[in-house]
Amino acid sequence: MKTILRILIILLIGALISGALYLIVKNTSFETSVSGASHLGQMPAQPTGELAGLQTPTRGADHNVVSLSRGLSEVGVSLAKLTGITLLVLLVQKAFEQVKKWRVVRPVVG
Amino acid sequence: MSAKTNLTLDIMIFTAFLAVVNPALTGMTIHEWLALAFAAAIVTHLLFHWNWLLAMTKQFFKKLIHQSRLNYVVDALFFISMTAAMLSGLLISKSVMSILGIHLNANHGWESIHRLAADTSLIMLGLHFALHFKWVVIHLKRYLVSPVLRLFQRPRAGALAIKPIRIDETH
Repeated sequence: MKTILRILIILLIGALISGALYLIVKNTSFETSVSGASHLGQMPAQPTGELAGLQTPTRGADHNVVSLSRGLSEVGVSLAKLTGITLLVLLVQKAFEQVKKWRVVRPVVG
Repeated sequence: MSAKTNLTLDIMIFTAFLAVVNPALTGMTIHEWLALAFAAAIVTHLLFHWNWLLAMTKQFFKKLIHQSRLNYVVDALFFISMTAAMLSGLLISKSVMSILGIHLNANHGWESIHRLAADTSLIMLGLHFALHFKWVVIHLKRYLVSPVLRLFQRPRAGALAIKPIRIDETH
């Protein structure tokens, strides 16, 4: 019961954020109006299963094709980005620690 | 919840994130369904850390260590960016929504938002990982590296040697 309540709270917060974002996008010029092909209701139903990704793409073209080599290279790029961010944050933390130590050793005279 | 369970779930979520954020690896259909499963995993992750979340929410504007406050802010932004990615993903979805019988009138603007939210999520994951780096390293060593190393470790020279037994002659 407790867990269900917690899940509902998380989903409610998610729904609130989604609603706020939807309203922001709807009421600003960020959303571009594209007619015709962009209407998902008019698109042919997408097949499911293994061949779904191999169908001729209609929208989001290059993303619809499954390519292990391309996929793995993209995973590598993502990992490289994550490593870069992690190293950067760790360096900043280290720098802060050094500054703190330096302040303790040499207290500011004022 | 034990640290081992937490670590296992975190590794699974991390792997799923890498698969979800690169649709070329899975194809769009699997990408969409995997993203839904990923949302469920995120909810589980939040449930595992519920007590921390609750305590931090109560204490946020009170006296608190800066590191904890930074963690909370990063986590909140991560949640917002993930929610934005989910929402925009559902709006431009082809497989999931059509199977549910919902036909949405989304346009290309949402595709841009989806990409932006996904990129932001990647950056937030990097920050989230970096802020928990010590915890990850300690627990990876304890539960993954050490057991594997123990498998390949040779037994010490004296451990299996036959020890001499002293027999007292009583007669």
